[in-house]
Amino acid sequence: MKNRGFKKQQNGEIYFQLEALEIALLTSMIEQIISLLTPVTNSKNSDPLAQMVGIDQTAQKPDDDVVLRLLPDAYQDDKEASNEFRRFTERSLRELKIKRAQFVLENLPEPDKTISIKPKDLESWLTVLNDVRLALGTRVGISEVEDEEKLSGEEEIDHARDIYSWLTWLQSNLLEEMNS
Amino acid sequence: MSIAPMQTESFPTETKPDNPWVCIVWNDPINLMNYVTHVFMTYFKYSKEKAEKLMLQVHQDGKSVVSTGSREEMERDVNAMHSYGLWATLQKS
Repeated sequence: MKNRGFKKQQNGEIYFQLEALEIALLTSMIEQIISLLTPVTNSKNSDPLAQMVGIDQTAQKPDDDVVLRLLPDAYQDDKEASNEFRRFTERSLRELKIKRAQFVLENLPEPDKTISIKPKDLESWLTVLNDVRLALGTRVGISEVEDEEKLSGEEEIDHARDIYSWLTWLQSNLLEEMNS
Repeated sequence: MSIAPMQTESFPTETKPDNPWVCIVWNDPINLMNYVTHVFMTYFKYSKEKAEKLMLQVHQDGKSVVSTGSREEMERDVNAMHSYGLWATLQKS
C-alpha cells in the first residue's frame, strides 16, 4: 500500500512521500518558479550597495501575469506608490521566495522514499506549494465561476488542469496534517 | 513637604495616529480558504474564529480589512501577505 502525500507523526514531524512522476512534476514546477523569480540584473543601473540592502532602483511592475501574481502591486490605485514599494521590497521578496523554493527542491524525497519534515520547515513547504499553485493556476486561467475539473478540450490545458487539481490535493493534504 | 501642583493640562491617555492605514486582502480564485485562515492565524496571531471570519469576508465580499496601523506597519503587513501569496494592498482608511 502506498503512503502518498503528507502524514503527521506523534512527534509533530510530518512524513512525506511521492511517486516518481509526482516528484518529477514538483521538481520541474519549482525550478520554473525559481527561474521566473530570479531578478534580471541590469548592471548599468545596479548599485551594489543598494542591492545589498535589498533596494532595486530598476524594479518595476512585471509584464508577466504569473510574476505579477507572485509579486503583486501594494497599492490598488497608486502606480507611483506601488513602484516605490517595489524598489524597496521586491528584491527581498524575490529572494525569500527563491530561498524557500530552493530549500524544498533540495529536500524533495527520492521516489517512494519517505522523508520527515521538521515543524520549523513546514511553512516553507506550505508556501512553496502555494506559490506553485498560484503560478500554474494563473497560467491556465483558473477562475472561481468555472469548475476546475471542467475540461477545455485542449489537451495541453486539460493536462495542466489535472496537475493543478493534484497540487490542490497536495496542499490541502499538508494543511490538514499540520492542523490535525 | 510640598503639595504637588494641580495638573492643568490633560494629556490624552490614548492617541490615535492621524492617518490610520489599512491592509486589505482581496479575494482570488486560487488560494485555498483554509490556507488563508492559516496565514491570518500564523502571521497576525489571530484566533481561529477571527481568522475564519476575515477569510469568509474575503471570500464572500471580495475583500476584507485584516489590519490597521501606521503606513509603515501596513507596508510590512502587505509585504508579509505577498510572501504568503495572498493578494493584499494598503490604503488610507
